[in-house]
Amino acid sequence: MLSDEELKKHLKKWFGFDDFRSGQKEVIQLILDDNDTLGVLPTGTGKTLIYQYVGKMVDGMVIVVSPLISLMQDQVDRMRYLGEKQTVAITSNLSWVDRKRVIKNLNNYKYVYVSPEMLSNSDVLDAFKQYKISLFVIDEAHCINQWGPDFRPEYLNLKDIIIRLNHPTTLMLTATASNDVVLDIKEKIGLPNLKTIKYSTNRPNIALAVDTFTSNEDKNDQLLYLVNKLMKPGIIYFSSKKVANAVCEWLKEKTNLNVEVYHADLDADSRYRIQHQFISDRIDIICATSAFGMGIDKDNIRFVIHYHMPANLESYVQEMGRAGRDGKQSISVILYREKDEILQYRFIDDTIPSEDMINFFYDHYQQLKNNELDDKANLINYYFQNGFTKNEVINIFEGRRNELITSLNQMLGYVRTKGCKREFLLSYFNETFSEHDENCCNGDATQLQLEQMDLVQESKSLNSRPRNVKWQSIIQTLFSK
Amino acid sequence: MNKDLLLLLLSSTQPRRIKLIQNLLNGKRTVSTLFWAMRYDLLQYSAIFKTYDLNSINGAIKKLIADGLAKQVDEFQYQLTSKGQIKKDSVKESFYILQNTSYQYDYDVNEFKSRLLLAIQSVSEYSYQNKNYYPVKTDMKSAMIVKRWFIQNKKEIVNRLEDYLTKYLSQVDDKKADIIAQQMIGHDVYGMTNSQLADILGISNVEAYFMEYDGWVDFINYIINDDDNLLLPLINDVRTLKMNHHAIQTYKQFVTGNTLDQIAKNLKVKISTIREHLLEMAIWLPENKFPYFKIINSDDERTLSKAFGNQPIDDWQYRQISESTDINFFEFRIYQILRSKQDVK
Repeated sequence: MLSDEELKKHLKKWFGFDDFRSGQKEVIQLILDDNDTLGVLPTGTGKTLIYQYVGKMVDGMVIVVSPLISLMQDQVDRMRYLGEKQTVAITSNLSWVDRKRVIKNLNNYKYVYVSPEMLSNSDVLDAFKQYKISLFVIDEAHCINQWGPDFRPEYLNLKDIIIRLNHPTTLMLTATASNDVVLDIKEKIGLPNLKTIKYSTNRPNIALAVDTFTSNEDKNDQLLYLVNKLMKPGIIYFSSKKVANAVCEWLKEKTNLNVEVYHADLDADSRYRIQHQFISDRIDIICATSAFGMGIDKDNIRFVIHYHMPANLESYVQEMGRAGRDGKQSISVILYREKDEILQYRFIDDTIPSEDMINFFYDHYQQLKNNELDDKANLINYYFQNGFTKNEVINIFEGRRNELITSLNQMLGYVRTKGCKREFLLSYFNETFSEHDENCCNGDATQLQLEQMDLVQESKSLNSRPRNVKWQSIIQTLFSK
Repeated sequence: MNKDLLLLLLSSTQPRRIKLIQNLLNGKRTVSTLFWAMRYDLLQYSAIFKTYDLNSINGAIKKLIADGLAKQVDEFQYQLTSKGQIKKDSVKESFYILQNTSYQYDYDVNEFKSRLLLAIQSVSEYSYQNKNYYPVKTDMKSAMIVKRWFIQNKKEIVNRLEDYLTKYLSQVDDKKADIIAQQMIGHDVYGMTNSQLADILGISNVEAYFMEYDGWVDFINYIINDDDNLLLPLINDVRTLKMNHHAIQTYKQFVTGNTLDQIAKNLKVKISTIREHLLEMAIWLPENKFPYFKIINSDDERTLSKAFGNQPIDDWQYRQISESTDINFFEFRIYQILRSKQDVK
């Protein structure tokens, strides 16, 4: 076992840091001693560093299973940016030719990101079997949990995949897992000697606020007040792309801040530019759907505002956790208009197949099987292909719907609680908290004082984006002489 | 879809199918799409939105109808009202629509742009001696092309690229040069998104897209024709013929005297496919480049001319002659294309 000193020496040499963040060292030590490990570490801990560090210590390949294909390429870009040029992602986004090429030259790569769907493909799995795999990472491991908010049925295949890969050392990582979820993950992944490292979900430097309104106008007034007053940069999260667009336009009109939208409808070119304009402090505020921020590493985000309340506390913790990674005072504000949850109930109806749909699918499978399936039909198809009966599937989705509604109610409980928000939030993750003070949250007893908390910004904009730059000066800046 | 653009694509004298227009812009190339695009005089806009998300055309038509600018003719077709025509005339004056259209070439502007931006970025970062940066997103093929280009030209690359870009931009209009330069990405330079560009110019996103598109097409053509070959490797496969290469093959065999049966046998495809190829070629090519009278003889021509007389070409129906003559649908359509080309003249 390596001493603390040696571990730190490498950390300094490879990453330039003097010390580990909470949990990093313990997890690294466990893996280096060949233990399968589940790390429940708060957002902003630097989970990538863990497997990157291990990758540098050991021979062989590091496979990272990640749920969101759209973000995998961001992760690859980040690894390459960090100097790990031998990194690649195998996803359905790759063209057929590119995929073949990558699989054929797999030995050129040290870090391979792959979606669970791709790994379930036997060609891909067979290719991996040819190589020494020194670490098998399951990112966002809560997706294994059947009743977790981001359940992905393909994650259930991972148990078999680990066996077929001859059981490499496995690391599972998540920021949000209650005790029940941890138990369920352990059962589903089937690793008998799994060690768990669980750290507090609490982010003490992020103050928690919920503002409640009866009308949209009041909500917008408060939003305008906050974005003008709060220290920038910040993110505003929306559940709807349409509303994100509209509010972005409105803020552009009403403020002299640089405000941009970011969501799945943007083309790759705009997405790249906006991410990097934001990272380099040329954008004050991003109006985003939840896709934004998972792949980017920006540590000076001062506020996260939720224009729409998230669907569950796990998502809330993930999203607000993008604030204050530098450890400085930051704030999370949920703007809640009474009955906002109706939107979330509608999303549940949109994602969970109804009993009628399930019946129809099972009764007409022969006709349907050659058609392009939508998301809901794909979900039913997964269970169909795995031999579930119609009634089992109906029960599964009934249970799932109830679970989502329960999660939403817990979120609402947080929004409505008159007591300490942090205490409520942490108790959901089976933690106790009793250090409430005036900088903790706004509730009945305390109101956050933005001025005293150093969260107020007098100057208007971070860095005004130059307009109408002439081509001659652009060319001049591009090339250093 | 931008409703001003839709206004420009519709007509007050000819009912048009909006779904077909959408397919055309997105790059669908069935004979039927191409034929009607030719009839609408929109053929040159084929595939210009292959990589641009148009949003719903239905939303745009609803707005035009609500504003009294368009009306629905039947289930699929729409036509401008006289109020719509007046509005169209005024939009025409101010709206920036794509200038660099071509009947001959498709330009993969997106591919070119990402390659060029990656090339500029890698040279820019190299000039700042920075190795850690997030490269512009491209597919693997483009990334490889740029990488190879960079390695081959590494010596003096900073000066050469800067000179090349300066030389090119100084010979285009300043406004256009600014638009192209504002797209460039490099060391601590992230340029402008399409909508940021539109904001600054005070125009719609789609107009900004057209301006950019025109700028890239000009640049591609410049690179092809310039004596300095520095950027030539980047345009590999970026400019391609609009005509399907199988169709060109068929056409070549046809003009050298092969019958349809012979061509079908030579190319091992069905005769119906050969017919489709020839229809496609007739639509794309100027009238004098296609041997119409190898397909329709003078008797057929007389019969067809008599049957359809001065009836508007859009309204011709094959069933008007299918019973009374032995002219097949292919011959009928070829004649319809010929008459369309003659009409335009």
